[in-house]
Amino acid sequence: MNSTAQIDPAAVMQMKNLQLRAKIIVDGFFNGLHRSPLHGSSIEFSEYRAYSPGDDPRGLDWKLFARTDRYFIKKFEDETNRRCFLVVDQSRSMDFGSLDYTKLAYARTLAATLAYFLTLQRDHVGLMTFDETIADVIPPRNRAGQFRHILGCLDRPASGRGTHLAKPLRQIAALTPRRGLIICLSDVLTPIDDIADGLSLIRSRGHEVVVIRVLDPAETRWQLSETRLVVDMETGREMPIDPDRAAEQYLDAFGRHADELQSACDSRGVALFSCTTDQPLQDSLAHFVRTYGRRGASTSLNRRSVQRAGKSR
Amino acid sequence: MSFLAPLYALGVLSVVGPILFHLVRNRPRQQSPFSSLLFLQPSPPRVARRSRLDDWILLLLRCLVLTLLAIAFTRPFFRSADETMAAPPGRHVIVLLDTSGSMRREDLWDQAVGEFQRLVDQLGDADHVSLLTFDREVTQVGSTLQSQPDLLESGSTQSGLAPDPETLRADMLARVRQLKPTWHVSRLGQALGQAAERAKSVTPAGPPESKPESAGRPNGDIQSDPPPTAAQVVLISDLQRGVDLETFRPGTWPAGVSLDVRHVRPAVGPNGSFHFMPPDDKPANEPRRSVAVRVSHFDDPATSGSQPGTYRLSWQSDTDDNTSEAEASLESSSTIQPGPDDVTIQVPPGQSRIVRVPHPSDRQNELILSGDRQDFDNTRYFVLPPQRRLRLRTLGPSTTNGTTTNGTTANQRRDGQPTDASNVRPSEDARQNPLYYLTKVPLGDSRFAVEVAPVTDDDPLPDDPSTTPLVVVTSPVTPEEAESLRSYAEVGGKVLVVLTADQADDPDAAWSDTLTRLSPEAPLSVGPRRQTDALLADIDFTDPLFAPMAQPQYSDFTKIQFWSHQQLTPPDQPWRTIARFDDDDPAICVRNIGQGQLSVLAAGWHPDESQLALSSKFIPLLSGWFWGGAGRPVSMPTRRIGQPFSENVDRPPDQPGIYTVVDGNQPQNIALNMDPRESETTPIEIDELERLGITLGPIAEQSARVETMRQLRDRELESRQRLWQWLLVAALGVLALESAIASRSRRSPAPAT
Repeated sequence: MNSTAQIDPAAVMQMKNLQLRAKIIVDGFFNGLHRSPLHGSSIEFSEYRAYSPGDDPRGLDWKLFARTDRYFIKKFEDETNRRCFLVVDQSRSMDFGSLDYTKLAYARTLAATLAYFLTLQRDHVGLMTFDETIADVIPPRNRAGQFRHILGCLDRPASGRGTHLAKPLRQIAALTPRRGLIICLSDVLTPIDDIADGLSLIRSRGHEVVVIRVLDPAETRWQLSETRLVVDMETGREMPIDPDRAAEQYLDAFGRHADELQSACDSRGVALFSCTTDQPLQDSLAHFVRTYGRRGASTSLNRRSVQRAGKSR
Repeated sequence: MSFLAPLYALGVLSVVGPILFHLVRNRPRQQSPFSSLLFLQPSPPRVARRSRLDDWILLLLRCLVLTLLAIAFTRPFFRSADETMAAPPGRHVIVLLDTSGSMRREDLWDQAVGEFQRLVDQLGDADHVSLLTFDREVTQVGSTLQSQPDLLESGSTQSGLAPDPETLRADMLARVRQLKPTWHVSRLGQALGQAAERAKSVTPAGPPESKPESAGRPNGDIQSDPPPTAAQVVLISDLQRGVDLETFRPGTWPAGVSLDVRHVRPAVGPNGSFHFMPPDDKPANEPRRSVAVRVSHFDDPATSGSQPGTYRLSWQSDTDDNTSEAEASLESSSTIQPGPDDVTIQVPPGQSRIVRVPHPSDRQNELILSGDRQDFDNTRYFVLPPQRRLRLRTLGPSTTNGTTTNGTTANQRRDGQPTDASNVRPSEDARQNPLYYLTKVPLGDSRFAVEVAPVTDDDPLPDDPSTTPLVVVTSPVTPEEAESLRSYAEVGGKVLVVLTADQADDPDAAWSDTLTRLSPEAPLSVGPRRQTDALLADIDFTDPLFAPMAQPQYSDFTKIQFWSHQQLTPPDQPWRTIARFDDDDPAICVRNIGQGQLSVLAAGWHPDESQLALSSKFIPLLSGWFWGGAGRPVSMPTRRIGQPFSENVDRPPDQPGIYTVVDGNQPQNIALNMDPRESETTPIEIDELERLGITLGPIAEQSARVETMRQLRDRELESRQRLWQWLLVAALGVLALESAIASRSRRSPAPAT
């Protein structure tokens, strides 16, 4: 991917219109690609469907027309209507931000970007917001106005309380009977045990799960310089901290937690991607596409491998 | 070092604040929100060694500031070792001790003596005391103040030497213990006035050299008696309501002098009392039956309840031992045996009732009240007053039946012929005599027997006006008789000339001569007799003769006709015309002669000349002429102790009892009782004294005065030294030093640990 078209996330986040932010990021991402993913150059053939007036004539399969004298559109895997659920964490810890914008604003922008991208791919996109419980649910659809509906829900002010990932993940598993793609945007500042069972439950239903961990640079790099009374944003608990003695301890604990989270996701087949709010959102989108595409390629590769194997017998 | 307000030293405890703040300073002040404390452990900051040392200095400086402030508020000062406090200046204490009759109750006198003892004990060595006792008079008992040599009572046996105050006080105490309350009324107003004058007039004692008698004390002490600088009055009394406060003029109490009231109270409750009422005017022919007595119930709200008092009045015989008469009566009041003539009465608290008690027998002189626990006034003495005999003299043709108002036989006729009462019967001629009607008017009563007696050669004028208030002249008089009448009027007698139609040859001239002789300097001109009907028209009802008939129901004289009357022309002065006929002729003319009075009636009152004698106005007119404007004199059956005595009695009249008059041919007894005002034992409110402008205030004990002086001296010392200002300056300096050190420690970075 061409990384020359990087957009400063601070500049993007200054735009108040969420849709505009998403469009700029997606367009910028597309500008960095050689081929349009819409054409699916590396996308495997999926099936034929009858031609309807208004379909793109470039999709017509002429060989099949020659054989049958009827028009059919060749569908590839990327044209399959997948169900995608964007799950956004709105707990109070997401309100933290050492930059001019919070993690929640960054996560919402990223969710809007992904929704826009997936909508362009004609996927069914839905939204679910949560803190301690599920707040809003928009079922995945691909109809006119669905994206605007999603944006409207993302723009709604959040009265976030504590973070409790286990319960929402169980509720997600119950609300999505059909297999699809679950994209979870959260800071995951909870014990690993809280989310491990939830992830296992969702994966057991056949869903694909992507966890995009949104962190603030102050959380990944210790930035306190003088003695302070640190206050937990979710519980209100106060803790006196000597920065000299706490830095090493914090980084050590944070690193252990990250490793545990990675291990838990790997063992459950969950894709984990961490990003900080000072990174360009295009990187997150590109990583998503890369991760999603690699998996799709592996999936379609598996399918081709199966078909080839069937023909050779 | 001493302190004016040592309690402020508790402010030093405020140093606990900075210490506590210092100990809890480890807690950081800056707060930072963080997304989660999941990866953090508490790590309190380390304090550098140097920083800790700086903090201790700051802590000590802050504690020092608070300590200096607290000490400054205590207002410290230094007393020098050689500074001694002078004794408080002496006071002149004037003691008013009530010795009136009400102080005889229970143990009031003992309480009063005890109060005086306590007062003397609480005085200092430099204080002087003067003792005045008061009842109806103020009596000086003694004084320790040498500036008042008239009061100085020497209690020392050393001749020619002035005794010291201690000896004088002891002597005064001994005298007080020998005093006893009297039976007199209490004049508190007069006593307060004299005490106020004495308080104003306290003057310092003269130089010691001028008083050789003061050598009785060591020479070193002569100079050390400072004159008293303040006066105070102490009143020891039961403050009963009967005290006479009106004689004290409000606003005359001296400024700066306070009155300490030592109120002595009896332990028992209310006091029942009684006194005799003035006798009523019953006619003389009615037998005397009873005497009116007012029974009162005086309560003390502080000690009594609201129960009415039930009392019994009983007559008792007098005792033979007169000197202990009062005491014997007091003792016997509680052991009186009921009698058949006793009167029982119930009186509510604060009220009085009048009852009639049957007259006593000849041997009973004491009326005793039972049922009252305060028995100092439960016995009163009574003597049946003898009936006084008065005479109304007449000058004119006497009547033929000659009966008097009291049934006595008249004296001889004017022509000297005696009359025989058994053969007298009223005749038509008698009823035409003006003097006849004088005998029919009931001028006497149970107290006075009035006899109508013509003037005769054997019983000529002048008479004493006190026994012969009136002489009625109904015919012209001789010059000698006129002279006698005038002499009689000069000394207070009243002469009434009735201008009847005399049978003389020239009655007008005869009357004119009579009136000229009686009033030569202002003769009343007599004109011819007018034989016309006339009525009394113009009457001066302001004159004492007509004043009792001034009310509308009594002032109608139009029904009295006069068939004829003498014309009179009085000069303007000194004659006064107090009644006129309807033809404007004077009817009654009056003038004063010396201490007496001359009245002229222009017509007779007998039926030949008028209807006056037969009218209802005749009796009150004649009573007015006889008794004068004051009416009948009221004589009380008893007298009060303290009243002026004109008679000489067998012993000093200073206590209740029966006294025998030693003057005169006939023995006469007088009953003497305590003034009823002394029985009004309900105490007055202290506010009444304040309303008179008297400053009330207790007398300070010597120790309290010393303490007050010490406090004043300490305040003066502290105000001179003003150490608190220096302490405040020091506190400010320490505060500035603390601020400098604190700012320097904040600026310098903390070394790493």
